[in-house]
Amino acid sequence: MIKKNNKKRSGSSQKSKGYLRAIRILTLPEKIAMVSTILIILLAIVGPLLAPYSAIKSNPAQRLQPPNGKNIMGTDENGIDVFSRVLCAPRMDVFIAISATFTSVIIGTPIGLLVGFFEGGKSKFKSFLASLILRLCDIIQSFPVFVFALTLVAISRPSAFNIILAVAFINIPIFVRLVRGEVISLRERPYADSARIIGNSDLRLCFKHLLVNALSPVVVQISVVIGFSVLITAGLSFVGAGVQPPTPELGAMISGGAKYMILGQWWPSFYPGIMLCLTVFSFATTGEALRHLLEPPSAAEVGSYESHETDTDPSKAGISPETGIVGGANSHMPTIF
Amino acid sequence: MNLKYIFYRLGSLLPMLLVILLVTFSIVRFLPGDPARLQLGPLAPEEGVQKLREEMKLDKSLPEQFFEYVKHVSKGDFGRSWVTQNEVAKDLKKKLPVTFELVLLGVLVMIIVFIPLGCITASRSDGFITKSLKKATSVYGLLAGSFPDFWLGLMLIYLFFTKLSILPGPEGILGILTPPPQHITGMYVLDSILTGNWLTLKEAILHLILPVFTLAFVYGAIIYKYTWSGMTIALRSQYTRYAEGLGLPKWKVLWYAFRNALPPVVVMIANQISYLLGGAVLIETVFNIDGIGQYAVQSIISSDYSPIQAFVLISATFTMLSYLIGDIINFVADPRIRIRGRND
Repeated sequence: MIKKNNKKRSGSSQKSKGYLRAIRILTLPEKIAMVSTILIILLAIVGPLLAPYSAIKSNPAQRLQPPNGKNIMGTDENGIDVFSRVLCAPRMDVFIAISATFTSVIIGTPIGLLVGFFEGGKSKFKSFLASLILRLCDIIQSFPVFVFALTLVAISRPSAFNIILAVAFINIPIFVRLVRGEVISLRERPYADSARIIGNSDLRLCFKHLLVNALSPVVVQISVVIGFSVLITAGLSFVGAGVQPPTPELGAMISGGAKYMILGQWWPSFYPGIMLCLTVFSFATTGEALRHLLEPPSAAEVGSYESHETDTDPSKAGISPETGIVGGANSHMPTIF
Repeated sequence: MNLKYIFYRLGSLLPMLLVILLVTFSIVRFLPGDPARLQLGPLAPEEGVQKLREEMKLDKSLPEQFFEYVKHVSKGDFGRSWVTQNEVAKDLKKKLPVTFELVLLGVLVMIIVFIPLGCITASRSDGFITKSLKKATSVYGLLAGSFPDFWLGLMLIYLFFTKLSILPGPEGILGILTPPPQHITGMYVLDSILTGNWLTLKEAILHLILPVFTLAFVYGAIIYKYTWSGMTIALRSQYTRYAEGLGLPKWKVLWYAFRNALPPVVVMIANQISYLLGGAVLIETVFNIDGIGQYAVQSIISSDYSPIQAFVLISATFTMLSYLIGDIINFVADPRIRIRGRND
């Protein structure tokens, strides 16, 4: 399937433009993911309006009803309709994940820009600062991501705001490294030299000329990191260090249903889990789709080892990050690479 | 030459370790309130807190406090948990091997299953088995990264314990009635093999199947993808064609390609170990395994700071060591890296 998809992708002509090109070069899973990402964001906005019952009000008489005509996903241990909760819950997860991701983009991108620009440059002091920041990123990333987030949330109390801060904090190095990697090659381009020669200051060159050119991998990564952050948020809530009940949230819902799972009442955990899978998958794969759309078509050929055999682009298709791991992966290449 | 590199890398561990210690040290210092009080909990008597204050040198400057902290940690003293009243070091001695075993088995399964799978699906053969494997793995590669591990674990418990009742439920590594093996390493599977306790071994393995499978399934996806893409590139390269043209046996061609595809996979495995530790926290909670993951979660919920400090310190050190081992394996196995390393 992967192979077939790649064939399809390489079949795209370089001239085709706009949405026609999008339809042609995106694979079926990518199209599905893009549509469902939009639906999930919509659901996050209007979800509570669609819910047939209240997502918070408990009804002990209706406790743990299996799925039936009235409650199509059954009811949970408090007698709340699971379907209503599943509709309301993505709001919290998506809100936290998007806020956290954009916070880390806003902080990480300028840092990465400056680090990439000044690293190894003429100014000894700025170069030193740049490598210091990179080492700091190393240290942040040497803590297992989930463990670190858990600790951060635990030492400040669990609240939506603190979860956002913690998740943003662990994601900052991803964007610092990403932008830095781009800028290191961009700063050597002729247009950067030209801009410098006509009298742009370093900062102006960075923020006016280099930034826009370094942004496209960031755009791709945003979606992937959102998916990954949803996973972390749900994981935090699952162990009780995240969003607290009764606020509808996917991880907390799975956790609430966990103890009934062994007794055979699977529905309070099953449906939020499916929703969580769908959310993470949609955002991560949308990132992939954006990567294919934003990359100039010829980049695929350049990336491949043999230019005449364009149906294989494993360097792009294979290593592509599904869970946002790529930031960590690249950063942890051995120093001698 | 190899030794020199290894020593160099080991040397670079020390400053990293110091910074990690600094972070765990700050965890308690930056909280509002008295660090000694935080560490001993709200129930401790004032005299005890006063004694710890002196021990932590809270009246001295921060660098001195840090030095004191490092001194304690290097002696293996991680303080005391105020909830259980146990020494953290003692708890860790019991719980660390359990988590270690879980993560190790997860990595082993990942290596044994996903690396060969990546090689097979990257090969150009069009046999029925290869073809169906390719189909299955492409779906797997697409979805596996999106599965929340804790949810998958729950679903597996429901399926294999509640519905089919062929595997034990979430009751830890051993059932209540099974006596644990004689303590040698603390890892149940290894200890039962060493003492020839086959009944316990069977129990432990049965209990570990689901958690290990969950970890390997969720975190193996990236290993599979790296192997697949590395092998795909290697098998389409000029040297593979050349080797095939010379009429070398198939396994030999595959071996040459594999050696070239391996380095990023090794790095990725080292990288995944740190994610596995995070995964172990969740998996241990789901399967009720008495390892450091569950310990950390319980400590976090009860604001028990000594165990949290120890846990963060250990997991960061563990991660660092796994990167180091990955680097060294690559350095020894890949001549290209060796030469580049020498030039640096």
